[in-house]
Amino acid sequence: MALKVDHKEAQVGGDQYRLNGGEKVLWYFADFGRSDNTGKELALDAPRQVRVNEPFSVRATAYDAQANESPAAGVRITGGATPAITGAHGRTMLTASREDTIALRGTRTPDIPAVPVKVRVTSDSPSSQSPTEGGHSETGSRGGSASGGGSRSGGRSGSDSSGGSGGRSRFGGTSQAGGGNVAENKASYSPTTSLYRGDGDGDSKALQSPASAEVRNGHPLGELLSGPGEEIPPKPNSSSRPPSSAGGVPLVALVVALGALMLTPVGGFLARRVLRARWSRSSASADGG
Amino acid sequence: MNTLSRALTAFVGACALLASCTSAALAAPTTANLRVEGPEGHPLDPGTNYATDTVTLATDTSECGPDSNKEESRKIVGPSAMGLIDDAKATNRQLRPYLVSDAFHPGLIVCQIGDKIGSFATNTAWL
Repeated sequence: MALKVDHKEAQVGGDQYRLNGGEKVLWYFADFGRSDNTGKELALDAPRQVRVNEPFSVRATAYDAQANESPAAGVRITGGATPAITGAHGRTMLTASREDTIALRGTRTPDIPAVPVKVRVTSDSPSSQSPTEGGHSETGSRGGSASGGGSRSGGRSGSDSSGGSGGRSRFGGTSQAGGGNVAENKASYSPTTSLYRGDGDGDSKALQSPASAEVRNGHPLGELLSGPGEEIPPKPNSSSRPPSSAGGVPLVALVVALGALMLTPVGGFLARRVLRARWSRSSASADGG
Repeated sequence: MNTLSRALTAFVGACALLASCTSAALAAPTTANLRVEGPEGHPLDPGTNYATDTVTLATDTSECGPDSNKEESRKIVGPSAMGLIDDAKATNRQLRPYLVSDAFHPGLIVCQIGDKIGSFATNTAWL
């Protein structure tokens, strides 16, 4: 009940749910007494960049236990100049009153809140930056407030998870690095990823964006990646392992197959011939000596 | 002949043992995105990519109710949804403490992430 993977409720326990890589795992604290996090999973769809005081559309969707997506009406969107409630089609209009990076959040009892979506508010025309190219990077203060006004460039680097039943989502290329005393760790840290998708009108929109997280030095077990193309750092206790099982398992299978072959009549015959040949050679050499 | 058969049998057995051991040992780490949503709209992790692999989780914790199995830890071989949190907690301290329980043997349940205890409290659960 409290575990969803790729928006779909897990049917097995978390210890039995095997990950193949690239999944979006959501653990949530369900409080049935207070109807908290006991409903659907919300998500927001908003432009990545808007202009000051220019209305922009935000769409809220809800995923049920089977990851079926539907428009979410009655979702309260905060983060803009004033809060707004989505209508019947899950849409509402917001404005931002000043240049900044705002974080939109969608809530509706008893649903799981949407991941905050960051929207950059500028006085420039949105078309001056390509929303469909490249990755997404930010430089913000520690704690993920994204107040640093970093650069973004759009990217259709995510996947389309619309309408399916548990379709897997890929990750976008967001990276966010802490400042100050953790600046040296920028390259190895990415508190979240953004998921972009087209909604049919050709725009790429952010479904998820970072909110807050801690930055730690070193490369602990839970090493973070700044993007899908980054090399996965090995865990300390698995540093001697090969990066992939490819090659190891086939080798073992080959050895086992050879062993099984030895048990067959043909294999036994060949083995006996080899042993006899070796015995003959050793006998001949002994006689010769 | 008997010696040869015994040798072959031993060889095949060794191969099978080797295969079973290495298949688990060769499981490669993988990467997944973890989001942890606490109560009242408080995210403990907003969605972060973590590398994860085999983990060993302590299960003999008094905070997680009765310990009926006397096993102090449990190993989850290969990347798993539960192991992902364990690997993530090394980076994100909001996920600590991360406690699991084997009270409902044989499966494990998450009973605490951060300061929120579930599963053993009325109407609340991480599971």
